[in-house]
Amino acid sequence: MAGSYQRIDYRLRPAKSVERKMLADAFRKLSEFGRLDAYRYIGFGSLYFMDFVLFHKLLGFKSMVSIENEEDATKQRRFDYNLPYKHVKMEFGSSSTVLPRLPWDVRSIVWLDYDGRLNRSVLQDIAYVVSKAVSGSMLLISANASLPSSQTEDGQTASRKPLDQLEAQIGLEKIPAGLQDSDLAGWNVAKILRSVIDSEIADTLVTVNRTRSAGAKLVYRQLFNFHYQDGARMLTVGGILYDEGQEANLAKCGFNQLDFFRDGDMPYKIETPLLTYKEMRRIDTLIPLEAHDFANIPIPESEIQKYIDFYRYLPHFAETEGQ
Amino acid sequence: MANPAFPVIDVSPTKEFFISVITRDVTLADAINDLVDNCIDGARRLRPDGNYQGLTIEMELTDTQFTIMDNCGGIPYDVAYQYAFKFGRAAGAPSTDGSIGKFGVGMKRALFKMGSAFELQSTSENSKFKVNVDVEKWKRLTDIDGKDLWEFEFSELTTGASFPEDERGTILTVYPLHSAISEEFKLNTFANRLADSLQSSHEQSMENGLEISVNEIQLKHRLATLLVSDQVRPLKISLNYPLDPDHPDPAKDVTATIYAGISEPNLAASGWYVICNGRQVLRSDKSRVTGWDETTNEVRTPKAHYQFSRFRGYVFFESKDAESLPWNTSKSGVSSESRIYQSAKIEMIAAMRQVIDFLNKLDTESDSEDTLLQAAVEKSKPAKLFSIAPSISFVFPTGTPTSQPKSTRLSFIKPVDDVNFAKEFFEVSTAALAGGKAFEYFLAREKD
Repeated sequence: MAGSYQRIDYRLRPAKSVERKMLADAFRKLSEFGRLDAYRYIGFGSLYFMDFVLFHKLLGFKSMVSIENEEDATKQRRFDYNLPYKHVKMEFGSSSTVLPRLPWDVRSIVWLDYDGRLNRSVLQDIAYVVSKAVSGSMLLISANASLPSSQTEDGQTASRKPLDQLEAQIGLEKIPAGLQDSDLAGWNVAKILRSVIDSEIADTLVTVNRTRSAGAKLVYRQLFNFHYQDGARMLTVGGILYDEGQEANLAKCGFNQLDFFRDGDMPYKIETPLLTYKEMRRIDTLIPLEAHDFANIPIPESEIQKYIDFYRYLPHFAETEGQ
Repeated sequence: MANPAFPVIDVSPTKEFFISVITRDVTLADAINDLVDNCIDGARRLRPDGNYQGLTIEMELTDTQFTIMDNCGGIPYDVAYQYAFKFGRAAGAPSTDGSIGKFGVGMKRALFKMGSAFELQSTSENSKFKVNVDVEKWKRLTDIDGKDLWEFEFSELTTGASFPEDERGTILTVYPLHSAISEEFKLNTFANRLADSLQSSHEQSMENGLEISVNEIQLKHRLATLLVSDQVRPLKISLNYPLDPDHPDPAKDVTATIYAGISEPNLAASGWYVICNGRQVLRSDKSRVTGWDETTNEVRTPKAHYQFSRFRGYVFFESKDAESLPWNTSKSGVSSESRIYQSAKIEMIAAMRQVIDFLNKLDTESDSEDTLLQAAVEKSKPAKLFSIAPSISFVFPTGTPTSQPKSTRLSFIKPVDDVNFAKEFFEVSTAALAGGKAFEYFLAREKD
């Protein structure tokens, strides 16, 4: 979505921050497929380039492309101004027009980090990247996992049922058979969207593989299925694309050792705790916690558990720069 | 296992059934177009360099008979004897590289579709023959055991001779016509429709010098162009697909060359064109087959997508082996399940989205005071496709400040009584004026 950087300060989203660091942990394992610093990273960096800075620092990526749907030259200057490293190149335009302009002969990590909803254009982007990816590449898709409210503002137009809404976004043929309006509620929307994305990738692979010889067929393995909510419900699903002959490399990567590894329908929920710094420091001193420790801290057990799950990845916010 | 003591079941097709099946799903214009394809394959054999200067195909349609006559080299005796009349393509049949007639059904289908008898007369370099078939008699033709005979007979034959190039050619006459066909041929609209179909199907061959006429009216052709300038450049990419990746055979490889760009605003002409070995099989397609539907329906507006009327996309599939190409047997469309077509379609969609993106911007610009994109379009000139340089993207001016539209439309729907009250209050005659006044009334009070 164009211009969302004007509305969202990307630095203040704890779940997103956790997700980024988890992904960095996962990307590090890609070295079985090739030198990490030779990977190209393609993302939507906004003005803050949080993912670009993190991945460059932790993984050493040198070839990085940030796609920004901003056509106005005066506004584009601000993105160029904020570039964190010369390693990062801006590409202005919608992802659907920028992706075909890029060369595709390098192993890439492509994070299509949309803040809008899944629609036809997103599915076409997915199909395009899958059709172009070289073995060892990663594709991640983030999207808003809710449907627009069925209430209309003026009450004059008939309210749209969830299924009709989804059909308007992605087209009837992409909707899983037998889906009911009642299925499209709460986090279940994210589950449905994951399966829509999964089918799109599978369909594209069938086409791609018809022009590849046996042994060189491209395979997709889902590695991530994050659900999180900094504001809106969000879904991040993604995985690795590799030649079937490189199955052994994939095994050596050991993605399945990651706590947040998810290769199917079951999501990994990122739920960050709401704790004071004093509370966090207290829990830190007790890690690893034993069962009786919980009773000794005056904090709800659920919050302690969330902290233990995520403390390695949690961001720490502080006011700086003069305030 | 079959028991030799039991009788075998005869499953051979009846000729009636066979004729009905092959003629049912082909339109009359497509059937005739197929005959033209055969003539063009003759031209290709005669002039492998592709210069068809002096070669002609003439068709005459009357309410009693159909004739097609060419000077494109004729059918050699051995080809006629072994392959040309065979239903389906025989294994080992000689092929013309890059030919367009390959399914072994076109000519027979057209003849059966049109009439109950036909005569084919052909003179080639070393032979001359005539075949007359009365379809009704042929249907009843059986051998002494009562089994259907699947044979045609030569009524004249000369071999081992030498005929000069200007005598070589083929004349095919269908007489009498089926009554439904005769009715069609009486209509001027049919001849026009046929001419239109032939014109678009064979633009490339006509560009190479081939002359085609219907009822003595010479067909015109206009080779496709896209607008080009310093600032606007069409997309052009080439891809190579093996027919069967597990058994690579360069003779069966298919190349796809995709062009996407803009031309004159013309809603009827906008869309995708698919051309297989020079033969156009899809014209200004705006359906799901080419991905148009999914790509332009991103936002469902009541607006009739007129902003996309400048879009033109061309895909040229080429192969030495015509059977590898993604077209259907009547050459009136693509075989959308073809693996090669599906792969190319992903690229077509990516190409189309770049142009659609531009056209959306052009449309937005028309609501503002900017003229940058419009000026760039106006400065560009049509260029023939072959003269266009490769480019992985559709290039147009970008990165300039775009001013937002200064005004926008808003409308209300309110009860008639209330609107009449407002009209009286503001002393205006129309509801629209009352709406405008009401908005001004609001602004005057609430806006600083």
